Amino acid sequence: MILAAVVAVAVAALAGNHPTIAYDAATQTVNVSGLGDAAASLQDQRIASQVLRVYLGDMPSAMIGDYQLTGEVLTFTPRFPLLPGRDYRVVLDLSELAPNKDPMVYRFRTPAAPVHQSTFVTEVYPSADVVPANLLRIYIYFSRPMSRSGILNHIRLVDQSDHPVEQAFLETEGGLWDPEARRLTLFFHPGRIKTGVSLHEKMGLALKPGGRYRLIVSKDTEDAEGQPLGADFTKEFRVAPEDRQSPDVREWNIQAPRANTRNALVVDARKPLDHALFERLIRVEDPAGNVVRGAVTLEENDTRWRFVPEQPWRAGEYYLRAAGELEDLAGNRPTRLFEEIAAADGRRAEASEAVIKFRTYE
Amino acid sequence: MRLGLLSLALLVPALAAAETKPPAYEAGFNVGPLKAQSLSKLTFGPDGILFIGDSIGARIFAVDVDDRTPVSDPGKLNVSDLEGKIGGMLGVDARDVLIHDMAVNPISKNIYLTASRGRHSFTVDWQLPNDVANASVLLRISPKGEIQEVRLDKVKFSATEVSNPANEKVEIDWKKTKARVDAISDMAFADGKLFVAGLSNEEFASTMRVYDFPFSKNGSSSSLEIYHGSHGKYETEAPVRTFLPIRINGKPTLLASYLCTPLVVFPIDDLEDKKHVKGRTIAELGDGNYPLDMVEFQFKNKKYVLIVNSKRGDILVSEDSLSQPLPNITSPIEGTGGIPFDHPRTVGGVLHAGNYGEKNLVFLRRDGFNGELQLVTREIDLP
Repeated sequence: MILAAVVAVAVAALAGNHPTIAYDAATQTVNVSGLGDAAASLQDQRIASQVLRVYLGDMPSAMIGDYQLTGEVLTFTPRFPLLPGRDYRVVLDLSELAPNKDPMVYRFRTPAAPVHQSTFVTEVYPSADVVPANLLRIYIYFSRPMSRSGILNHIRLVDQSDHPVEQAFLETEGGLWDPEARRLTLFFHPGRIKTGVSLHEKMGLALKPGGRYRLIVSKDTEDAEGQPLGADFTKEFRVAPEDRQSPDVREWNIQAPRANTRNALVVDARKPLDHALFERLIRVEDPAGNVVRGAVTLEENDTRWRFVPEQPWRAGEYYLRAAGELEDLAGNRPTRLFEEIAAADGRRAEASEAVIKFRTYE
Repeated sequence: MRLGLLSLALLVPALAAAETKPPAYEAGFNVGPLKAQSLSKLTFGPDGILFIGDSIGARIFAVDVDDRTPVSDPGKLNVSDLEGKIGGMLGVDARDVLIHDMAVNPISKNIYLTASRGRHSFTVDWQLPNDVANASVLLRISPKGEIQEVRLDKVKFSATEVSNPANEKVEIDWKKTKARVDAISDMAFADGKLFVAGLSNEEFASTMRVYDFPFSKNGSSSSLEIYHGSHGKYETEAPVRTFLPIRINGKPTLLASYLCTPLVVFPIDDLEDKKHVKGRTIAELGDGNYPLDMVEFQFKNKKYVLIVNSKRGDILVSEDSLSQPLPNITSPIEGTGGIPFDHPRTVGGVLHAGNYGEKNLVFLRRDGFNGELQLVTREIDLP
């Protein structure tokens, strides 16, 4: 009864009013002014949501949000942010309040999304220009998190005649990414590296010794926000003969640091090692077995491991421990080849941890 | 459809007359904004009370959604292009609409859904909706097919904590998600108690919590262990994905299912606080599969449980086969095994199922041909 009376008043009041609809991009709100006395009945959210409806494009239902009446201005604030660069339609339907009034329609377009700097490839490992023919992994680092799906469709390996190398990489669902999706690991198809495996016998190594190749990450590759890379990324390299030599820890050259300083400990492995493993699988311990904390960087195309301790070195002995899982570019481990030949009794050597002692000097 | 102002005005007193009074225990409820971090799981309790499980916030809310007008025969329901309709409300394209859970109010037959804008966020196989986004919108679909938001900014509710939930930092590497999203993996209410499955921060993570309602104190918490026939080992890590309180030969029991799909029974009497409880694996429904929902119904005086699955279709287990001496699977099983089950003809593409009156079930399903998400009801009919 009370509501009916309000409606009657509103009808009378609306006759001479000309509402105006406007979109405010700064606040992402839709505002209707000039409602006159009709405004009074729009304090009820349910009624307001019938009278003022905002639609994305030609979607069948109106957006949810809050309706706020301030004086004679009705403001709609959508629950979720409006999408950039899209068309919206506002319908102001006062026909229940003023039977002769046709619904008003107002359209607006939101500003396009700001273009951020394109995502790009920051590093590729191995970083050297020469790699062994039985190279096992390539790491690609991106400047932002990437879309995980279908990554191998966007990466090509081509030889010097621009012919693509087919089945070069192991295909895995979604690709092998770190949790943040910024580092992609490409595995060369192990079937093509291992002798005696049918893929190897049929197709041979993906990389031919003496050849020149280019790894191309296509500009269509999408980051996690669906934005393509700005440009193709290309890394060229030459291929050396196969490496079937274990990295020999005894051959490593250790530049011991001076005691009571935070000078770097530098370990020269004399051959490039797998970037991710070299960074992670070497540690320094004091004689009591406590791990020495510090920062690691790799140098000289991943042949050198450089370590700066958090605290100054003490005088005396330290131990450098290289985990058994450490690998060179071809997957050979310190005491076990990628293709370790079985001994006469059928046993194969297992990779084991290597320990090297060094002394700080005074 | 458009509801005129005058009809709205008429509707208000009509509703008020038919509405039954709120239950007395609501004296202890707060009125105000319900601030959940994720509307992770839904289930209905007594008197039209909706329980909302918030995995991220590690809380459970009991909400009076002001929906107690009985509807005994709701008729047929067929809502097409649900994601288009909800997309309009959320201001996104249909392809970004993600439905997280469904519950049917047994009194009014209104269907409740939780939704987010998260469907574009799936990155790897095996992710579930709660893995990729937090639902923030509660929706109600009436028997007439009208979709409305249920606003939570001024509701009557009470809340209880989920103690020692899965740590926010623990990652589940194989599906690139956080264990915390499964702090509450399913909920069900029976005999005055709210059962809450999920992951705790204990060594044996899989947990069943039991709360009195109205909430009085922290619920009980039991760690769960099962033998997984298709994995060939005992497991305590994976959460129960869907479960139902049922009676087996009169004994209150939880019928529960897990990824890759063991079907397990836990006698409710065993669920004592801080106890480690071993379930009895009574079937393997097939590997490579999520069980998504369970619903119990009656047909010709017999009870049945329908289990809807991500990849193994809809599976029907009868009261008859549950009342026989039950198998106890404790050795590896290839394929399927255990109690007998059927694959009945249903609507296909089912993600959630619920009771819709005594004679009908309602399904949230994706049509295989036109790709639409739909809500459809079907009369229960078994050969």
